[in-house]
Amino acid sequence: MLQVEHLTKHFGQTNIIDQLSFSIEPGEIVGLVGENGAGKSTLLQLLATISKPTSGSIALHGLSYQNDLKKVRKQIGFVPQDIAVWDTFTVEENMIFFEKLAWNHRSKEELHNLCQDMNLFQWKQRVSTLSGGMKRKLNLAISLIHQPNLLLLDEPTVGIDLKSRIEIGQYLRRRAKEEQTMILYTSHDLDEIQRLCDRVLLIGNDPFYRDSVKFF
Amino acid sequence: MIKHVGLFLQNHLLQIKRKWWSLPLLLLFPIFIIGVMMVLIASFFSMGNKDDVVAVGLVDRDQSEETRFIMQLLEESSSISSVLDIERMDETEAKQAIAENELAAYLLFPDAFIDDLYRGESVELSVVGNRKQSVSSQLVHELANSAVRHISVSQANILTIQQYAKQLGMSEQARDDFMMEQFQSYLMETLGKDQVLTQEDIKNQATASPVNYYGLSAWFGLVTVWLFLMYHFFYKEYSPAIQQRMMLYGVTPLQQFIARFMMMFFIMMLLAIGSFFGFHEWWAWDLAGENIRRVMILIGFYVILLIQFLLLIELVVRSTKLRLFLQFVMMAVLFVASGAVIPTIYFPSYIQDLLNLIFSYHVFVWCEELVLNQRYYADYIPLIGMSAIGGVVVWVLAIWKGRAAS
Amino acid sequence: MKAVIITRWLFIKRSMLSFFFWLLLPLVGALLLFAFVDVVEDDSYVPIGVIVEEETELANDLYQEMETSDFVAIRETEHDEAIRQLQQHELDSVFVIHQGYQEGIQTQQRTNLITSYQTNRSYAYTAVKEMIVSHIQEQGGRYQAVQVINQLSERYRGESLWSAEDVIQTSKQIQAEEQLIHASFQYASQAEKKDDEGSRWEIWHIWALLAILSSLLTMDWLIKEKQSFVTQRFYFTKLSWHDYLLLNGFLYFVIWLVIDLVTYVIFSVGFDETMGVVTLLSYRCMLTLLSFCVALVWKRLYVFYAVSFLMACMCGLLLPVRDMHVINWLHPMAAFLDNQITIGWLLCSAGVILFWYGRRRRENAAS
Repeated sequence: MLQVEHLTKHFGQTNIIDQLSFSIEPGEIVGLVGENGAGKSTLLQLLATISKPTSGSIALHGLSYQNDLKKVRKQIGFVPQDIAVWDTFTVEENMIFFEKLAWNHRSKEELHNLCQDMNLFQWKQRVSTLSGGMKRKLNLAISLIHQPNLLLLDEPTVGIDLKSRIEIGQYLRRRAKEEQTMILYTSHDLDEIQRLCDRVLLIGNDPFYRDSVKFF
Repeated sequence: MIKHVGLFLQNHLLQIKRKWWSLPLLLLFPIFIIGVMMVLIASFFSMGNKDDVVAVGLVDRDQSEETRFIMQLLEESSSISSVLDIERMDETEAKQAIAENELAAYLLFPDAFIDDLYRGESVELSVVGNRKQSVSSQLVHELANSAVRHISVSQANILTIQQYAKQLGMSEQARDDFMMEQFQSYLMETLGKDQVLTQEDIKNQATASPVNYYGLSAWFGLVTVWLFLMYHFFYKEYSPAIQQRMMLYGVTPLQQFIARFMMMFFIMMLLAIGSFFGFHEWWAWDLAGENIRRVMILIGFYVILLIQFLLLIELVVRSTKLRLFLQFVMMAVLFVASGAVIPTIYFPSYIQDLLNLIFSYHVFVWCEELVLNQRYYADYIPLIGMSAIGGVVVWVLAIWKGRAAS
Repeated sequence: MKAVIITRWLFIKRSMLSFFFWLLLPLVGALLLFAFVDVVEDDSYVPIGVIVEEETELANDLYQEMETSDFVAIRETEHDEAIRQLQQHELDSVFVIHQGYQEGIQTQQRTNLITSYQTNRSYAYTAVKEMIVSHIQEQGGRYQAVQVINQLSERYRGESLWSAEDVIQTSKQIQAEEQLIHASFQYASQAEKKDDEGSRWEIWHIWALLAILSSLLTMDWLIKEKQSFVTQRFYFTKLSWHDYLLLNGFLYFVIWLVIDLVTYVIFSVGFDETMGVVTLLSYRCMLTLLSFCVALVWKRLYVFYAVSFLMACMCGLLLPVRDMHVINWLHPMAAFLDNQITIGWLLCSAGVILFWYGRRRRENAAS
């Protein structure tokens, strides 16, 4: 389980995140909602160990972010908002590339299955020729190679068609249930959040989001 | 079409405005490079200059009468002392002097040098050079080589005389004295060898001095390097997304090329003409107005053809790395082929035959005729032909590329 | 390391041609350029004008000798035309063999037998003059021998015993049979002696220059990968981003070493050019570290390429003046070309990389 206590992040004089506390249970999908600039991405980066909080503590399955950084990282899957894959490679090559650099070994078959589970069938196709939805799926698949317990997704479905969106959603649900993965998910699509998430975490002060979330 | 070209021209002007700070750097850097090259060439030619005397040591291990005679002659000979400053010393002194960088090299006459020479045994004259003055060392080596060639001819003759003299029944003592006499006589001949010819200095046009030639070369090189840098200054790689968008607005590669071409041509002409007047003043070329105009036209063609050449490579080669490499190599080849580095009369004949096909050669040859030889004529016909062909090829390729992209 | 090899292979196999082109550029480029310069140097000649005023055996002899020389090309023209061409710098220099040449040689009146014309642009004049004078000297020397022997035989026997042809024949024979005297050259600081080591372009010079360019340009993977969004993923891999880069850099170093080994064998077998193995190793090490540093500094690929060409260009231009003390000290190729171990640049580059590595590592640990 992920436990966040009194998390604060300053950038110079501005307080991006102030005294935030929450927790996520295994198997739970939590939606992160807030207006642009509310600190969604900053929070994800803090949880992903990419940046360091000004104060407060984070612990994953009892491992402190401060003291057990390496162990913590092994359990985190981070899906960046940008499509962080090699454009010139095929899907297969991308999977192999990151498998080689991952902590645990996965066979080629496992990698292949991982993609198939997400309905990503273009195994031998170059990424640059894939559709946006397929690229998003690959972006997600790569983050799952090392079988993380905590999956952090930064707008994973932005700009793709409904079918891929639903497929990704279904896959995440399945994964949360079967592998007891904790998933934190940001999106601007409140319908999607409603459909997918067990809980919603609201940050920022925009009244619009506050009102919208009330309807859940 | 014209509207788009205008837009790109504006864009290029903005580019200049945005990156104005890098422009002086871009323009000054080649001046620095060419300055270094000029210093190099000047230092190379001053090797043969009478003012620069190379210090050379002489070490005599043989200590025979003949070697002493040679040393004395070498020290005193005026034809040698204008190039070399020769001093007799012993070996340790010579080594010391080289370590202290006071000598460019020393010559070593080995033990039994003369005896071996008379007996027809192989002898070796050693030149020991100084790494810190490698060019001078090589010069001394060349001189020693030339001296050795002369000596070996003389030696053959002395041995011939000796062979015949033996058949005449001369006493050994008389023969030895006689050989010594002959040796000295041949040595004197060798030292005075230049007397066989009268050397006349032809006064060519005052303007045709090497200084002016290299001045013209420097200007030509400056224009070439500037153009290459300008090309990269205005070159911009557009992402596929932007390329696509531009295509949607009906912008073709050809229009971009025309805009870039016009921009570069305009700026290069400003630079070329401006710098030409600088050189014209500095080297006091004092050209007639109509010849200045001719040089301008020639360099105009040069600029046009060079831009066409660079654009052509850009169109054909897709890999950035390879394209840069090819452009770089081709610029260097064009520059050397123009004859601005080494006059083309020294090239092998089959290369000279090819030069007629190369525009940089035509441009430089006529610039030379105008500036150095004071001719009042220049032939533009080949250049007009070449630039027309170049223009058509670039045009067609650009259109083809535009089609292929859409 | 295995992971690095496999992942790098994924990149390389996409661009095999380009990969090998840049890898082999120093070797192949040096061989081609060297061969080209060699051929051109051999085929280059100095155009000179020669005017022969008398039709005698010795004058023709001299002319023949000049014609067979491999570095001049003779154009036989009228006097005035030759001078005009000389002024236009279509000829390097002009030589006139005067009436009375043969008589002068035979009677040992060897002054002003020919006239040479040169201008201030006769770059090859000294060499051509030297060649011609030495031919005249040769002819004259032989007739001097003839004269001396005739005098001797008349003094001792009262008659000339041998004909001029006999004596000249003997002299030529002696000269041809024995290469009696020669000059050797060596530098004071150099241990072994090399005969006739000229200032010619050594193949390693060309190689070293091209090696700078090619190692910089092959380092472009670093810029490309640095720019990619993929870098974000390296927080969650077993290799950190800087370890990944360093190991890849090392992999390139090893690949280059293999190519260098081939180069070493080819150059030492084919050209008999000796070069210390440690010298080569240290130079390659420096090149790898230096290009790694440069690639770390620049962000844009195009700028990086431009900088690479600029650096190679500067190295090339400063090469001829590297004898000057300061430049010799600063020039990255200087130590290599003097067959010494490259230290300065190696340590500097290594220092920069260590600094980069340490800083990133600390940042990473702290975040």
